[in-house]
Amino acid sequence: MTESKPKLSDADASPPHVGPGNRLAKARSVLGMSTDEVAAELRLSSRQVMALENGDYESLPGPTYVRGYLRNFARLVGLPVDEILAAYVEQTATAEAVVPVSPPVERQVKSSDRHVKLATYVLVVVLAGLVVAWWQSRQQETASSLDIVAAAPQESIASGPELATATQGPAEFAAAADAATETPPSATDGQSPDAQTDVAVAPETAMPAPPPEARLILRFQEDCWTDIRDGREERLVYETVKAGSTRALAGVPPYSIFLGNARGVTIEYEGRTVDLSPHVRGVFARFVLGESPERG
Amino acid sequence: MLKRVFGFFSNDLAIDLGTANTLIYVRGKGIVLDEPSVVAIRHTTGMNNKQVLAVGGEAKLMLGRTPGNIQAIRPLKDGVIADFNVTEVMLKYFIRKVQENRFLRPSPRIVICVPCGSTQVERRAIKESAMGAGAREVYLIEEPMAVAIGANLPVAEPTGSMVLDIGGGTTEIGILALGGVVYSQSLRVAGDTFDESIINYVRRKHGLLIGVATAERVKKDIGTAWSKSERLETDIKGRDLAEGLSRSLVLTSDELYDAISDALVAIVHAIKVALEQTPPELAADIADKGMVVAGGGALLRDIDKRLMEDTGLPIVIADDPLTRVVRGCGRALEEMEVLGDVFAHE
Repeated sequence: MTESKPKLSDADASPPHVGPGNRLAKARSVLGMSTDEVAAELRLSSRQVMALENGDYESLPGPTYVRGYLRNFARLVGLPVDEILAAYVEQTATAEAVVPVSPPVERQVKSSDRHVKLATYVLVVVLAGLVVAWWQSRQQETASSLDIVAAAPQESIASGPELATATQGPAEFAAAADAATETPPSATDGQSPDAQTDVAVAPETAMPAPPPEARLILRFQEDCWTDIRDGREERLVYETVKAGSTRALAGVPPYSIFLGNARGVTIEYEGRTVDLSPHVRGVFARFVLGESPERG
Repeated sequence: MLKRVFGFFSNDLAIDLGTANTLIYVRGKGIVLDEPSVVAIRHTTGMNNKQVLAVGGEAKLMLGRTPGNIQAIRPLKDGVIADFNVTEVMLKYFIRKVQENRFLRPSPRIVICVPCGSTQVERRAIKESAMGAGAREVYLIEEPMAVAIGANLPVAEPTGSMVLDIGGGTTEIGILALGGVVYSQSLRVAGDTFDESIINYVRRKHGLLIGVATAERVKKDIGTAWSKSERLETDIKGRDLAEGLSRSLVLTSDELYDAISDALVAIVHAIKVALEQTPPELAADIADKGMVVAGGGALLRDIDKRLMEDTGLPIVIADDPLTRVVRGCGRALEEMEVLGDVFAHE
């Protein structure tokens, strides 16, 4: 036994490329066992034990079995199992690399692949963007329709003082018009009604593109069916308006007006009250008010 | 339809739905989950009177330590589903857990192993419970086949391979060749039986009541399957049957061997029956190569020596025996095209 120790340590010191078989064979001979005895213990044939010792793994069934045999062998002769298995792995690593266990399977694209993930995220972001864009366009649509509803009362409120200033201080208007048209001060000479026409005309000359809008104010003393279209055939009112309400309209003249109950309505056009009596037929009135800007 | 769309983003899963532990293998990632198959349920009053309290390891700690309104359940018994709803809840929880970081919750293809002795009803139950847990497609594979594939045995070749899988609820013996199961036998004697035998032995011999957890611990610490194993000792605590007080005791490995020897004899007998039923050519292959042992039972001390002595076959303990089944399921999933039709049909 005293002799066996240096021999075992020799086996330990041997370089790893020697393989597990040599170490097992040495340990076996140290214990004084024959291959047949080992084979009987492990229920293997002596041919298989020889193959294990010589590293002839080709003649053995397969890696799983070889590992099992080596483990049992190592335990039988008292060698550390982990070291023997590690040596086996080291020895066969290169051999295994050469011979693939199964034919190389074409790699399947998986969801965890980076490019698939990236594409997914891009797709999701694009979809989210589209949804947001659609949502915003919807919001704008509803907002613009709300604007139309909200605009009418605002105009009616705003038009009052504006018109008052127009009638009371034409000079101010004229000054504003001057600034816009840069006409010589002769415009200021024209007082009262002339000044107003100037004002009406001045922006027209300055900006010919949008047709000028003329103000029409309707005051309802009684309920009245009202249908008003402006020169662009745009329907400004098309409903029964309640008594006591006031409508201020801005559009392109001429206005074609139909009033179902003409006696209950007074109309102011360009600051002047319009006499409806020539147009009234029975209870209703149908007439055209104002002139188209081309002709004016 | 939606399941198919989400399936594009999914990782396929292989599940070893075991009586004791559930393991999940994700294609390309390896084993990502290994938890005990235990669910803790709290009973409350009201409409939804059952609440899942914990699943897996957390729930296992509660086994045998629960107050009246909490129940810790092992929804699988003998390798098959004993409580369908709870199994589904558990599977759902585990599948969600392995996919928790996903942006979309995909529906994966799942391979699940079933004991070879399971009935059609039991297989259908496992399949439907996986479907209920969100699978797109479910493949079943018999446990011996999964073990053989997982242990990298030449299952597709014209040579016989024999596997023994001692699990928690069942012991599976299979002889395989040419991608098919030539002989298989499922035995409802396994790890749980060892635990019960230990409990019964300690009660009978020492008049001491111990719990399942204690029995499992001593089995793992000092249990042995071979009469000539090195003698080990350990302390256990339990309740004295006569006095009703707690008492501690020193158990030896010899006593444990006595306790579980009946169960071991049953397993050895089943192996012998399997060898008798094997066609001679395959029997020669098996005698030459030996039998591969996997499952938790392969970790029992000196089980290889015991089996070698009793069967005369070379015994090979698989590396990492607890995960062989799930690795086999995973490989079957990954190499479906190469391995061919290794799946079980209902």
